[in-house]
Amino acid sequence: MSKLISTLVNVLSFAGYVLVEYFAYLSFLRAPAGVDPLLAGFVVQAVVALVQAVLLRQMLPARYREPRFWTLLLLWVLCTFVPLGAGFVLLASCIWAAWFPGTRDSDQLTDVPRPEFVSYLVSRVSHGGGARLQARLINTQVSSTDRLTALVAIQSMPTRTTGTLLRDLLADPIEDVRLIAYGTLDQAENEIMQKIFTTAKALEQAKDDSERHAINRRLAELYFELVYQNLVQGAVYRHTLEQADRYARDALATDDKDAALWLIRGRLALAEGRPDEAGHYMERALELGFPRERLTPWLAEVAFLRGDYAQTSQWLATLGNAAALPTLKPAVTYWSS
Amino acid sequence: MRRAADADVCLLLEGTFPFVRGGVSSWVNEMLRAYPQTRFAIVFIGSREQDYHGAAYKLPDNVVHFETHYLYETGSVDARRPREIEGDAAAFAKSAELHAALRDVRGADVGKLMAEMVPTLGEHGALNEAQFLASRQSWEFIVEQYEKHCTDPSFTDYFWTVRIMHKPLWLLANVAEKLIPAKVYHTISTGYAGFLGALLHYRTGRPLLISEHGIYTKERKIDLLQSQWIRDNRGAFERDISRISYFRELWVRFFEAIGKLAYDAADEIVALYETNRLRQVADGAVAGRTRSIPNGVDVDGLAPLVEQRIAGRHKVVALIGRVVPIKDIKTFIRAMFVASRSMPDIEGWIIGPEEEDPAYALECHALVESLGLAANVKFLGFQRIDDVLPKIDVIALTSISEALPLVVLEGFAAGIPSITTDVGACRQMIEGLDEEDRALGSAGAVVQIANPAAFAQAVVALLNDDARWQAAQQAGLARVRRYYTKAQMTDSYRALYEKLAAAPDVPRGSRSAATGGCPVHHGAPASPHAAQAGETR
Repeated sequence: MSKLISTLVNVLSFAGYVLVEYFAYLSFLRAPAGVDPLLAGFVVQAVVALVQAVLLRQMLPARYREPRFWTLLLLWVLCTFVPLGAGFVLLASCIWAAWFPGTRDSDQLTDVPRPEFVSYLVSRVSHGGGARLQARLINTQVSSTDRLTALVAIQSMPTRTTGTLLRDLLADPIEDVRLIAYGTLDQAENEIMQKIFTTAKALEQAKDDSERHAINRRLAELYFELVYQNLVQGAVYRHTLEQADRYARDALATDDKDAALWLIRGRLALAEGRPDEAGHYMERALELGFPRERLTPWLAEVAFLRGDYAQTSQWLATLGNAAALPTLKPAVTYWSS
Repeated sequence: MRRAADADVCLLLEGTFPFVRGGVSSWVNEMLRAYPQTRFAIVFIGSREQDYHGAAYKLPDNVVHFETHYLYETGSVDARRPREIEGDAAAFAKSAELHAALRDVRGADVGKLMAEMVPTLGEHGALNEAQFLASRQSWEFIVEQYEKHCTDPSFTDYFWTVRIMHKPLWLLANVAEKLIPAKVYHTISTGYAGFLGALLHYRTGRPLLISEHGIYTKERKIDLLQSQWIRDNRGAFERDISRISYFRELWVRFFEAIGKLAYDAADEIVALYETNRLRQVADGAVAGRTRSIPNGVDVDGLAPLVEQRIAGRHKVVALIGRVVPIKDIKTFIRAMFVASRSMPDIEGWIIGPEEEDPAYALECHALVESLGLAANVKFLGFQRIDDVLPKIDVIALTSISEALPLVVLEGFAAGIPSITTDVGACRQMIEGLDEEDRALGSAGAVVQIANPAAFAQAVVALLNDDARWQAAQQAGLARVRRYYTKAQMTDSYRALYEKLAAAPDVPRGSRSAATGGCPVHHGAPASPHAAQAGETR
């Protein structure tokens, strides 16, 4: 559409160009007596050329229009000294340029030097600073700026590992430390609470069983996440466990073939100190095809809590040394030696 | 718009009265009304005009001049292509000197340097905004600083961070240039308003009074250290995990620097309570110019409410305050949940407007619902304090940050003990500050922040022990009557205003920013109950 309009404008501009030239010729023929016809003709042509220069400039491609003054001056000179011809030469060259565009580099691009590797940034870094973070945080004798820096650094770590430390810092003598520790915990909790809130809203509007199952399952997982990330304490902790279990039950009521949900129920029962029930749920998850090696640590814990140590040892032995996670390794070594 | 040729006191307000509700705003409102004979001018500094929705307070008649300025308004695109200018090398050398002095405050006379620089910041000065934005000197200084100090690899980010950070300062310089004369400049925070105060002080030679509710610099710092929008471009090999990203640090230092400039320019620096005063000194205020003036409440007006109380079993706990995250309403709700296990008839009232943060209010309602607390916890919205106070048995305050919350004092004056978190001046208000104050006894309890179980335990213990409750009531009444009356506060400020208004003009740069007389070393750890402030209600 805009192309059509610009073509139309160009055609009109050129028509205007020809028209004013025609008026110029008419005025040559009717030059008043007593004036040198050549001088009069030249003056008229110079004035007309000004209008023509403006019209022709409209037709030029954008990058030829600037700088405005010099472009206009050139066009005016051309139109003054080459009446009519100038326009046709310009038109022809524009058409020529459109058909056979030159391969000219854009003047917007310039060469930049090859990037260098700045070694000074790397050389300033002291590696391994992360290992001392916890020690720096706990030690109240360390300067407060140093502790704050350490606290900011651990913000990026998962709350599951830093939760306990952060909670201890809520009682720190330095207020800045307390506030940032609070902010970190609060943000982690809010993220999950927001999801719980929107998911619970969705549950009210769920239409069929499969949707309800999915939402209940998600709610159970989210409540469990609060527990897993170490974000709830005391009475609220127990309440959260109940909530998680309730949603897990609701989800299983519509589809009891969901192995992962049985595992969640098992872990919730473990957290509430009911190993028999937990064992039952874990078995169920196993029957439904949950990977045995991922269940094994939990089954071992169940056996341990029941007091069946031979069974604990057996379960952990099946893990083998290679498969065990680093955190699990000491337990495996202990029980299999 | 009110306009006048001059004023007695010019208040510099950043992001509060009259557009935003809160403790600081109502304090300003009361101050304006406490001195009807004084002619006030108000300069309001905000972020963008669209962030404020009309005035929340009516301007009293003694506000003769009122103007607003917005620092982060999106401007129009440059009308003309900026042309490179050479820049005044001497002026930029001065600016470099000031920056170096701010980087290392020991021994440097920041105030004097600033006093020399202020006249050059104006519209036609050697360091005006155009010079900063387009001069070769400015570019070279930025490049030099980047190469010398920056630990972030991105120069582009560094360059734009520096530009965005400094831009408001020229806007404030223009404000200072055009502002009507006043006898006293009074800013109620450091930050941009404090910087404007410093500019005005050096420009006019009139005294500057800073009275802080919270500690602006610290609040900014906490905010910046937790913010997500500041970029960190360090790659795996360049990253030192134990160091804060450079831009974060740069922003923190920027606010520390403009805070320090304001403290240096101020003639009197007022904190609400002792802990904050020590913090100001630690942040670079000269100890000799600091003092504490606590807030006060209308003790006599609230006294009849003590008589209206109906004897009976204590079971109503009320949190009076806006429903916003800083009040940590969720901890209150959870504490009520824990308390309801041992005291099923306990009632928790949440009294305060919910409009400010509707999303948070909704979350709080959802939390009450999910904990099955509908019978115990009620949201009462905004209420007249005289109507509700006689029915309340304990005032609860679970805030994570406060200054000197008036609601606790009002509760004391109406014969209600308080249980608060250990923030701001709460410990001082409940347990007393010095020996004499402590002798009055404890007017409630102070617990750790964000700990519902501890809070619930304190609430239940106080509600179920009538003798302790009575003692706490008496302690609260005695304390508020002795230390926190409104008359004491207005008298203190009246004396300050009169003293400063009578002071002669200070010739530019003649007063050195003394470095001696500072009882706390710069950068020393804050004292045990380092306090935080902010909106109190």
